Amino acid sequence: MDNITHFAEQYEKIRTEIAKEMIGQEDVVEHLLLAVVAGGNVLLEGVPGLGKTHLVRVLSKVLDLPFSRIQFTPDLMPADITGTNILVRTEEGSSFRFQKGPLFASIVLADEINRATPKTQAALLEAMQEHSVTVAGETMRLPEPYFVLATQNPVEQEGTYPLPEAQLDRFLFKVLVPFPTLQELGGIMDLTLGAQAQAQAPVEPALKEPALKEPALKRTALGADDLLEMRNAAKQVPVADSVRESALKLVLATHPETPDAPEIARKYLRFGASPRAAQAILSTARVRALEQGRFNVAYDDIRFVAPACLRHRLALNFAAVTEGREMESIVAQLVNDYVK
Amino acid sequence: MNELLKALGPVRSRLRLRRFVSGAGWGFVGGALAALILLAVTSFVPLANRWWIAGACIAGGTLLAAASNALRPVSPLEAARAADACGLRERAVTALELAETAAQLQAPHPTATDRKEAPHPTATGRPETASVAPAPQAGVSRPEADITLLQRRDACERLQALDARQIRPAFPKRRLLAGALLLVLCAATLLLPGGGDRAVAARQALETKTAAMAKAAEEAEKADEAGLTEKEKAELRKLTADLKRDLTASRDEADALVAVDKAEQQLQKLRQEQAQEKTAGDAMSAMNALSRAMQSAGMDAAADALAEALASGDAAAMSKALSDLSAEDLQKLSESLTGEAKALAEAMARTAQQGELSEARMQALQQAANAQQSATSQSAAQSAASQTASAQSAASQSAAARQAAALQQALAGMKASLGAGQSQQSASQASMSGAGAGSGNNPGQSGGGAGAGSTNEEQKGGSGGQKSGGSKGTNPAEFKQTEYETIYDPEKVDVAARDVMTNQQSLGKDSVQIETGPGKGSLEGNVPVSQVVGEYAEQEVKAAESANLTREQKQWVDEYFRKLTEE
Repeated sequence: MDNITHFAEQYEKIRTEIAKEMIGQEDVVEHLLLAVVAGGNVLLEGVPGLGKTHLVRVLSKVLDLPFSRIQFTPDLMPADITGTNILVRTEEGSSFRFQKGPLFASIVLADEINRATPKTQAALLEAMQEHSVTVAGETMRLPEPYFVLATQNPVEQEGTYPLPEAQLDRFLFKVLVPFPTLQELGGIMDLTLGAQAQAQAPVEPALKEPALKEPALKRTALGADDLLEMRNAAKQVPVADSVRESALKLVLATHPETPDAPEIARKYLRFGASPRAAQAILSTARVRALEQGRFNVAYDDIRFVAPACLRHRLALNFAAVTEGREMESIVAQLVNDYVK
Repeated sequence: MNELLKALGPVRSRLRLRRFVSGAGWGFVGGALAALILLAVTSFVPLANRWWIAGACIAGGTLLAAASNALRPVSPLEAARAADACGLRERAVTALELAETAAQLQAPHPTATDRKEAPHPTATGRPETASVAPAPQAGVSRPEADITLLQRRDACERLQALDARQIRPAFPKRRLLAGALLLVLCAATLLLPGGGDRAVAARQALETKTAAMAKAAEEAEKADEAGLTEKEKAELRKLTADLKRDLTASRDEADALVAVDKAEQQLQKLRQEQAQEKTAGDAMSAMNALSRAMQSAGMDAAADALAEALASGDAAAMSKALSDLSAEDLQKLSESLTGEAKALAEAMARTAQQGELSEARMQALQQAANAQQSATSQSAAQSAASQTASAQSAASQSAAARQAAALQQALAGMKASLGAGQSQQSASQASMSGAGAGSGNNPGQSGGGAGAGSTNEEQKGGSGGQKSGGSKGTNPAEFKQTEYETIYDPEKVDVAARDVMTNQQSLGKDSVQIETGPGKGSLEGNVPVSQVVGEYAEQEVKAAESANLTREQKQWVDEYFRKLTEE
């Protein structure tokens, strides 16, 4: 019972520690924490310089988990991330030894994931879904907890390889990182440049912020075991039939081919969300319920997590593109219609 | 579970109140709709007190719907949802479902369903544990999961802290607006041209009148009943009873008029029968008196012949017995009658002094005495005997006559009343339709003038007729002979009418065939009465046969047209 009653307290501790290093982006942090506690992968989408990479680094430090960063490039090969067998010569002779790649960490930052080729992107699938890596016929388990936090730039599309739907579906959330507000921007400046330097130095792109000043975390909030306990506690949170039904109906409503599909889905969607979307909604809603101090899932929880669960699992059709409809507005309307 | 249900108690009470208000709104709309339909229908189908019934529909519908809606049981799930809507964030619903699941699992019935969620894989591919802790076999008691206990405790605390007054009865604005609109439409039914109210008012007036008539007939029946014979009493009672029954059963004034007319005919027949009986009785009495006088005069043979004829009731034999009297016999009879007259005069004088006889009888006796004193012939004797007998029966017949007269007077009053009402109704209808047709020609009735040009001398001179409509020259002082010689009828072709083209057909390039026919008369022109009176009389006969008119009225109309035709 302790893990349940202390859940909100521990959650708040993580958030507080992250807030020390992240100015603004509360919504992004909230979604990221929900996904991490629920045990899912997150795709962060935003223009460069918004602190996506920094956020992941801070999270790894707060959770005191092994962290690795992979900068995805077009020439990145699968073996570069999974690891490979290398020939090792010792006094006893030569032998092959598996050299673990950067995937072998609890928190993997896949920076600009859409810059890698599909072949390399596909190498992530097993790690994301099965939490294992298979090299040369040998399957190796990845450490728990394990999550892949990927970033991508929505603006610069040249030389990129859009993620296939199968891989997108493996991400629990797709979180949109917005540009900070004026106050948040000022806070970032204070944090990275210092109050005195802010008056003298010109405004630098946020890309360079880690290089200018690397804030040092003094202590971690909780460890891997605490995180796994929180995950188990969240899984026990009951969901009322009506609430669960609304989540399932929402997922079904995204399918334009179903007879009961709403008009907006039939008109603007090419295909709908997979059952993983329903799983993602319910699992993250449970985490949010406990985080809010409740022992049951509410409609509010579904409303909060549903857009992040659905936006990358749906595809707009030609009519939506030509009419200028955005995924966000369509998902918002579906959520409003089906989650009462 | 009980703790949860107890905590939901105030919420359920508030939900009942909300349902009451909601039901009242629906009931108001339904009642107003029913009232509208009722009022619309009864605008054409007369119904007494229809506005009261419509009001009762609205009030009754509102109360009934409100009560029935409020008395429906409020399920715990519904109460839990309402509580969650007040900011409990599905705590109550979840707690209730968990409690029901636990109750089902602990129930002894093996058929209880296990409602726990089936394990399903997570996004990471590993199966997720059930949302509710795994349940053992149904019917086996098991400790509840920690999260369940925590959730229920949390829900109960929140429910107890909840101010149930947050669940406010929603004011049904739309329904009230719809009901108000329907009420306006109800009021608008007054504009419908059905005339239901007028018919109801007429029926009520008729009921009032018929009740008054029945009462008058009853009073007439009781008047001086003591002087009647049993047979007369029975006949009069039957007549008044029939009249009351017919009046009560009458649906309109025409029915009442027919009933009164029927009673009048029966009464007239009764009076005729009484008169015939009286005449026969008078004759028999006179004959008996004459027979006694002949016996006292020593005319035994003639007296025997007369007595024999009287006994047989043969009028011819009586006449023959009297005509066979010789001059000597007549002289004897005269002397005898003179003596009788003297005795009768003395008796009359005594009676007059005592005041025992009525004035009519005294007058009859005086006449008889005078006749007897001067009688020198058979007719004088017969006359005296007849008058004497008449005087003797006058006393006994006077009661029946008075009662019959009273009843006759009552019936006349009824007819006048009904005639007035019918005339008013006709006039009302005529004014509504604008046709200008009217009726009502009985004296004392309000008569309606016909349309333009339907003038006649008799209608104009009719006593008691009330002028209405557009008849010209109804005042005798304004009478002009020319107005009676012609009559306005634009449908009739008069000399002023000209032929008009009725059809045109082209026969070729320069040829056109035109058909002409008689045109209608000039609007200013009148048609001579002689040209149309025959047709009018035929129409009158057909109309009178189908109309609800009393025999007297039909006779009056027939007489009117007969006179017109004769002229």
